[in-house]
Amino acid sequence: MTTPVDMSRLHVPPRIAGCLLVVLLLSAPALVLPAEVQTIEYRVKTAFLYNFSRFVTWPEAALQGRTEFVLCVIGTDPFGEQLDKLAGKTVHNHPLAVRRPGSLAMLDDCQLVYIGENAALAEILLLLGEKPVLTISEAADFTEQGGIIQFTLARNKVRFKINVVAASTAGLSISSKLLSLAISVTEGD
Amino acid sequence: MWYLRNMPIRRKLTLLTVTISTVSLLLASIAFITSDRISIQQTVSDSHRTLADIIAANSSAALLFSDPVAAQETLDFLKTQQHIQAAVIYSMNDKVFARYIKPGIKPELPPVELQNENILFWGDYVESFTRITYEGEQIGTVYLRSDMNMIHDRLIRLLVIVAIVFAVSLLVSFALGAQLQRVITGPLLRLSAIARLVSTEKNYSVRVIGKGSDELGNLITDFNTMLDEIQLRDSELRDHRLKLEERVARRTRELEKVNAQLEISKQEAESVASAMEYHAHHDALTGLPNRVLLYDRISSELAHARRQQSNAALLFLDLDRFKIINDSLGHAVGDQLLRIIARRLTDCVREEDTVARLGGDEFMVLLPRISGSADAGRIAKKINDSLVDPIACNGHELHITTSIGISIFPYDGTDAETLIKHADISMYRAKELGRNKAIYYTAEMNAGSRKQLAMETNLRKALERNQLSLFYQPKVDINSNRIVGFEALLRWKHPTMGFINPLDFVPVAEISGLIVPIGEWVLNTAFRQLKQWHKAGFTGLTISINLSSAQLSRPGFEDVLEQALLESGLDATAAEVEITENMAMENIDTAVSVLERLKYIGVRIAMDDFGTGYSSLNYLRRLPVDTVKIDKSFVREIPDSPDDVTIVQTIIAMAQNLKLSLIVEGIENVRQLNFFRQLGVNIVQGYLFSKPVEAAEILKMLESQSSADTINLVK
Repeated sequence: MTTPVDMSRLHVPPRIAGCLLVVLLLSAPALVLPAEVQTIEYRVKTAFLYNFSRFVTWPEAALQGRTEFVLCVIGTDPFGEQLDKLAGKTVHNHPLAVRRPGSLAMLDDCQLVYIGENAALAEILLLLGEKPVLTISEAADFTEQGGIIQFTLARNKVRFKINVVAASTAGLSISSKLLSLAISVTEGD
Repeated sequence: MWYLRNMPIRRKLTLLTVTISTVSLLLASIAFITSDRISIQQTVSDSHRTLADIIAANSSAALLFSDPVAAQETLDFLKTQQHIQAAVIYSMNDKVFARYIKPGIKPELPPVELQNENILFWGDYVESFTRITYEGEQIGTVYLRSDMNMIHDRLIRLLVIVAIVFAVSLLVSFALGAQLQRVITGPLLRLSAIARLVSTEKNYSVRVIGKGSDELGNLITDFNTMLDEIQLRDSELRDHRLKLEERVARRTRELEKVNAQLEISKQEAESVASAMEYHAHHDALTGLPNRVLLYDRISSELAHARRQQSNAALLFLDLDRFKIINDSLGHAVGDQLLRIIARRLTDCVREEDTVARLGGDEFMVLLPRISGSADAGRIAKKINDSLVDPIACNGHELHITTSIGISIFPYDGTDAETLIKHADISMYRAKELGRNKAIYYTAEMNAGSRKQLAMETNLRKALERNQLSLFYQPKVDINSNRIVGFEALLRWKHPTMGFINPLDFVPVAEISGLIVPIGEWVLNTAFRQLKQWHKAGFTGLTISINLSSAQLSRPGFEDVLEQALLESGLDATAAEVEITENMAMENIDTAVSVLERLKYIGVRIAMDDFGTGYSSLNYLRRLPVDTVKIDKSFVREIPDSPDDVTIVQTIIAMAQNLKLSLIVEGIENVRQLNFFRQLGVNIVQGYLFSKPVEAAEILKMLESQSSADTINLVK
């Protein structure tokens, strides 16, 4: 998946720009610019966050009486304003809201929590424990530590792992379709 | 269409059956196949939708999480679907996300643009596009392509079955039709066979066997009835023919017999024909040319005269008093007389002249090529002279004369008709002038006949305008000097010409037939007048009425007279009719019967003008006469003329011997009166007593007579 480059934004002299374009076109599939790749990766992950929420079922009590489905990002936010574009989409008949809480105490209101870098991962997992909150992170060994869905990259593609035990502890059920797409699923005995 | 019209009915019926079944089968097959095709398409599209739904459901997560490998796995199950040739999952950016292609097939895939959801049936494959959605949001499209060959196979199988069923049905319907048509054609064939038998062999005894009350059954019954009728007629006809032949044979034999006789009389017939030819042109009695031949000769001679600018003459002859001879001596004498005269006439003329008998006592002589009118006069004189010698006939010495009228071509006429007419007119003039004369025609004679015509017109008006009146001349009894009756006399007073002599107008009235209404008027007027006088107290008077010959010979005259008597109320015995000898002679038989009838009812009959005619005692004996009236021509010179005295004495003696009454007319002086008084005559009339006067004068006379007891002499 490549995205066309907006040439107008590069301040390069026209002759050099023409040569660069030729190079770009000829070597397009192989060419990876780190900043670009990162942007694409998080755009995909943003979409995945939303899609995960659609393949996971929350207990009725968790959504009842609520006006919004709240997606929270804690720690360093890797999505930026991409994520805010999800606001207003519908998840399980509730409008989606994006929040970036500053304290752990505010996590109680979230139905989905993405845990970024520089967050107290263990503490958060402990805090949320059995609460009906879907936890997602790209931190290594996230599922082993008790997180529910963990992003990974396989051959430059965004994939994910799922901890079914953690999900069921949280009272969430995960669609078999989603499970079939996961590269690994942690199940109980 | 000609072929179809002449096709036998059994074939028509079979054709009909087969055609109907073919059409119905075809329609049924088309419906069946069409329905099958529709249901197949339905099945195919259902199958596509189901497969697409399965793929969509299974691949939605893969699409959402950009996992082509997982999507590819969802297509794996298609391997079990034999008819699916290809399946493609497109992502929302039109990329091929995953695909399945049946091994061994390289189908052309549709363009990458996103297709709308639909299903397309191509020749040998079907393709469909179905949306993949998740929670109402389209996330991709699935393309499916399936093989239609299998379905084609199925259709072909179906067609084969339909064709077999079709063929079998046709055979069955043909067989059934061929059998069933006999129900209709069987009776028709029998009917036709019998009809042919009847017409070829004239055998009317055969009948068609057939039952049933449908149209064919009725037809057979009617046909048989017709045959019954024909058979009956035929036998009658045969009888008639036999009788006819017999009759013809008999007639033929008769005809042969007649024919044989005809052969014999053929020669006779030829001579008869020439005799008939002669008779057609000649008078049977005298052998002279008849009217036909005469007219023929006149025409040809006139044509000749016209060419040669020569003269020709026609002599019209009428024998004088021939009728008297004929009536008194008999027809045989008359006929012989005519034959002798014919011979004498012929002797008087040249070879080239024609003497013809027109009938009765009329002859005509045609004198062609004469040098002048004087020649005609000479011949006429010769004819008159030739008759001077008495003719001896059956022991009678007969004196006969003839009156001749002459007309000359071209002075008196240029055509046969005019010449004959003018000769006729001049002949009558000759008679008027005293008979035994020959007179040339002159234009004045014709003027005379024109005058007669004018007279007739005037007379007709006179009758209508009451210009006619009756005068009455008294009859007086010389012993008592009293009026005993009257003679009614007709007078015509013309407004400009004054009184017109009855001698002038009565003949015209007789010729024109006006005498009939005039005669009736006279009877009615006279009878009414006398009745008035009777009513006035002058009873016992009689009235005498002069009859004309036209009245006397008219059938039913006696009824007219009786009617007039009835209407006036006059007693018949007061009426008297006066007739003349000549009148009675013209038609003696009718006259006798009319007069006898009149006498029977009481009317008296007087013989007028006695002595001027032939004074035949024969007539006097046959007619029922009561009175003889002595004509005034004998009275005029009495008593100075010894001849007249003798005649009058004879007549009076005869009348007295026959016990007839006598009356004398024309008494003008006392000497005459005394003469007749001495001879025993009682009743007279004449100017001595009174001329004929009007009714008013008579009334005065009657009144003065009754006061004076004697009649005053008027003149």
